[in-house]
Amino acid sequence: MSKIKHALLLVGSVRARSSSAGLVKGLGDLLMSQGLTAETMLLIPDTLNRNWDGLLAAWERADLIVLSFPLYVDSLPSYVIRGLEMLAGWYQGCDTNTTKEFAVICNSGFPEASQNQTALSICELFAGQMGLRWLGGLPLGGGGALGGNTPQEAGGMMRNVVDALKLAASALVSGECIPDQAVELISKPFIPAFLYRIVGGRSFKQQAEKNGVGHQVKARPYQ
Amino acid sequence: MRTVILDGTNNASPMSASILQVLRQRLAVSDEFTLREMTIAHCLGCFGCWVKNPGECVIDDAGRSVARAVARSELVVFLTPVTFGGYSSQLKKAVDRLIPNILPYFTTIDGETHHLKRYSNYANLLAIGLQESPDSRSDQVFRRLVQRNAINLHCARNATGVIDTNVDSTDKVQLLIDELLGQVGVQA
Repeated sequence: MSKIKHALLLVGSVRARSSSAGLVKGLGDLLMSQGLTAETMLLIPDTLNRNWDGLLAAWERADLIVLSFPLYVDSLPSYVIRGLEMLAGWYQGCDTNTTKEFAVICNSGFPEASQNQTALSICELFAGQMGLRWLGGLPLGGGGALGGNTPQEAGGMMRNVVDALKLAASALVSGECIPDQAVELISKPFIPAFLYRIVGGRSFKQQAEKNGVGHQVKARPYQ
Repeated sequence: MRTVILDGTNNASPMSASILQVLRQRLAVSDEFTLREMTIAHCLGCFGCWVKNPGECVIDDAGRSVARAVARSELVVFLTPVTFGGYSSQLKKAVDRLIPNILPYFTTIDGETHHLKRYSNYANLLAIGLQESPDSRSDQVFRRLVQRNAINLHCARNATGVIDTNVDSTDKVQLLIDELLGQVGVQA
């Protein structure tokens, strides 16, 4: 019988409706459908500054911890790194012999899921330093397309992501590593990269125009 | 070579002081930022620097000064403890806040999607990571991170050194820094 009973889902994004939150909720729903209980917390500055004890208590309750975050400059957002630093510092002074399981989901604004790999490696090293059992990471490219929805809600072009989460959930509830098939599925581009670049660029242009700065997007204030 | 140093160490130490001293001796340091002493907010991922206030972060704090200095430099030096194979949160705060220096639009570099340059010229990148004792896996991930950053930040040349603070001597550190500087085009 699996020793995984309760999961802590950490959202490492400060955005109100983030793809990171949508992804981990999608996974969390699948974990709960397979009998786990789960709670969600934000791993953001506000939590680190005002609810550190609450985070630690949730961490201690969990058998499985899943961290979901957006890729920032090839790595984790600085506030997530700060959270991991604080957790590592706490762990060093901790007297515990309970091994917890750790997995991550990283989503990137670039279409190539491979660009998330360094961030996943950093998470794996964190797990090692914390004495956590590393169950792997899921890299998603073009994550902005989720728009804060779960992959299940987004449907359509997110079907590979849904299937990947299903495979991952089945493994994680048993304390097993995320299977390669799940990583392959979630890594598949849901639209061609060239199209993503076109659509993405247009989206930024439209946002700038809506803000009245469409003609200034290429400004060089520091030149 | 106009140089900006981003000191992302969490506290002063004899080793970091020695490294900084060598860098100051070898380079024309225009700006040296001791990041732990500065008020730099975490990047919010709001894209305001692209679609609201193009080229500058919407948060008006020292993060803007760092981005401005980096945009005007020829060499950027990252100094940081190797943190789970990556940067300290102090350094990463500053790095995240460099996004205004690139455009929201996309291009490809070696077939991979990246953001276009905002400016004509970008600094080379020299990263020095500190770890207490040799850790090959952390070392490897750190070097890969710097290489990836060099692509995204449009650094024509980059070099990475990892110093084992409990093992490496000051003389060895000086030799390493000179070697790294050569890799980014700084002549001894």
